[in-house]
Amino acid sequence: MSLLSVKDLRTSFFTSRGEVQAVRGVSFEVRPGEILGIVGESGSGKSITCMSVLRLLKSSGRVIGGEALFEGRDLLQLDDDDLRELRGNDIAMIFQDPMTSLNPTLSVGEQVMETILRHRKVSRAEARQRAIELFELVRIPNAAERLKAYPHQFSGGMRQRVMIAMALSCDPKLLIADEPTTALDVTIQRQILALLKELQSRLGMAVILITHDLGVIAEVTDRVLVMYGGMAMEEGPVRDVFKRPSHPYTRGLLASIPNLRDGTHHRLKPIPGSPPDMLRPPPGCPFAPRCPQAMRQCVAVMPPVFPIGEGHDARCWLHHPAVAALEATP
Amino acid sequence: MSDIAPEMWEPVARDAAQAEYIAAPSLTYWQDVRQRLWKNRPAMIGLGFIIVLVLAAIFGPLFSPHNYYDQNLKFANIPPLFQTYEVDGTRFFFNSGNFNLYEVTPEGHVEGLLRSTKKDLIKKQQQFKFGDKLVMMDTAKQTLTLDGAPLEPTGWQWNRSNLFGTDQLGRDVLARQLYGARISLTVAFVATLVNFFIGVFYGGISGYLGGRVDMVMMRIVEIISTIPLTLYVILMMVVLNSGFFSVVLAIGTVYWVDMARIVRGQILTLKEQDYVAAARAMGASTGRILTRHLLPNTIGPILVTLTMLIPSAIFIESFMSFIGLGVTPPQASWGTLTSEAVETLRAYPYQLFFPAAAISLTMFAFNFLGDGLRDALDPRLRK
Repeated sequence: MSLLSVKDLRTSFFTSRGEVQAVRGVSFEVRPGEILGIVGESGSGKSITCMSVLRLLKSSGRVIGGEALFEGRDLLQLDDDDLRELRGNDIAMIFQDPMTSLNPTLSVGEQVMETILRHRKVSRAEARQRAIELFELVRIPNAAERLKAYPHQFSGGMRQRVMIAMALSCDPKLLIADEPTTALDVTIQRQILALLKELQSRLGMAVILITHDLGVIAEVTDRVLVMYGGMAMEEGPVRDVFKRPSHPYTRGLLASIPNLRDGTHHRLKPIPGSPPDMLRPPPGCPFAPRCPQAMRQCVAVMPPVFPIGEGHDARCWLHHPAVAALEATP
Repeated sequence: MSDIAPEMWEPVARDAAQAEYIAAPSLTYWQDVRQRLWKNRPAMIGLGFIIVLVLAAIFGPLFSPHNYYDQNLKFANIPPLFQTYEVDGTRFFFNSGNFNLYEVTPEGHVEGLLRSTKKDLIKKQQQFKFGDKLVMMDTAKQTLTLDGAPLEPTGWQWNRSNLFGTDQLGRDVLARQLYGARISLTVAFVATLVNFFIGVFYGGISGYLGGRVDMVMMRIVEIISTIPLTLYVILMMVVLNSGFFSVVLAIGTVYWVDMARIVRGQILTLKEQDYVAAARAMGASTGRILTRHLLPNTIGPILVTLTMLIPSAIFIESFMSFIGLGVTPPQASWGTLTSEAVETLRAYPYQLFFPAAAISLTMFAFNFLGDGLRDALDPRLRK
């Protein structure tokens, strides 16, 4: 039984230039207690997918199809009150930029307590106590004292800790972390990731970690979903995907991360070209124009999902039996 | 090289708790604002003036021996400063406006009206008797003669009974001025408060909900603002009967459009901020986001608009009273004082000075304060 099951999610933005198809039929599952990584370039639709699930889209965006079952309830059909009850309580979210995700006019303690008071029937004193515990949990020193501080008195890493504390305040079953370390410097990134991983295993919640950094994926997540052009290109267990990348895009991503460990110097291979225009998405595979192995079929027809291994799928024509047969013959 | 104590080479004791502590003494936003406002001289002078004015309006009438409604026609139109004459031990001054001689004490208190002993209406002369001396007043030439020779004044004297003089009904101008300040300031503050509540919530809701709601709400604002506001207020006053309450109501229900526009603009930019999305993701309701997260962040522009709204409310109230649609007599506001002074402008031009000065100085003070606040509240202007 999966905690969150997203099926064929479609989201579009209706702009003055036309319909921008940001998410085009994404399906994935999150099981209780696992970390799912969603990876992809900017504009691949990974953040929009999660925003759609929580219905936090900006006014021009609209979910036009699919379902998102959370413990059997479709989040996309839930009425606003029930959804608000669920947000922050069962599903919490951490945002990319901790510098702007906190309200500058309220003290951090006030903001953490606000979420607790919203969802739990507790007194202010109890909420305060809980906030202090949370600050200690995310390792903010002098917790009781720092509750009174304002966001501008905190560094980026500390603010992200506050955001995590806020997200964890009601023991969510699912935490969506939207590029939680992108805006932080490298040493702080490590600390925050380690903290997230530790808290996840200690509290037993499921996490969706959105990132464009495959290094983060390799280190933290259990399963990975590779997105491109608003679609899932490949999905599978992290080890399997790293060992047997079955989509040229995944291979491209892997080739473009620097490997400092094996000592050999080889050039990083960037993927040439840029992501497709989602205003007029190509009829075939969205990656075809940039794919080194693109075939005529790829440009013309959208590839279906081919199973690669145990829970490992890829959306690529290269896995069609006919292609394998073609390669066998000289 | 100076000697360095050996213990200085020992490793530092690490305090993990302090690792990420930003130690610089950081000021809160409002401390910062206060400091910048304090350095702005015109704004502080303006603020000082406003405080003095408010205190004077509240407590001034308590200390005044006069009230704003007692009439005494014998002492009408007495100026605040006059030239005294002295004949046979009696000090008096000549009020050229109404051809009367008033006796004055050495301290400058106005004692009473001197009766003429003989009036010659054909020659336009009046005769006053001081002991055995005769003073002739020529009403046509407005001169005083003592036994045929022109009477020389002994000097200038401030009016100690009525510091600002009296008006044409003999009421103390200072008392009326202070009472007028009460009315004018109350109208201004109440009207501004009404504007504040309507404007902030209207603009806030319009900006936050956006889309079609925003469209309709802003069109309504545009309709209201296309009618010249003064005309609108005048029409409302005609329907509502003039009086204190209706002035407040008229100003309050019309002038919120600027506030609504400013708040809406602010909310439109602020609602795209991450912390609003974060608050929504944590399950906060629309009302809560609006009141806790959005409005506190627009407080700067709101405050500036409020300080700028007060002088325009004072001005509109004065204008309404001036054209006779404001508070009803014997109540006084700066506007009614001005219009009463205008009636006697030719004979006693100085009567216009005090209410006009009060209005313009108050406008200046609020505008300076508003300017200063705007500068102080904008962190980009930090030096």
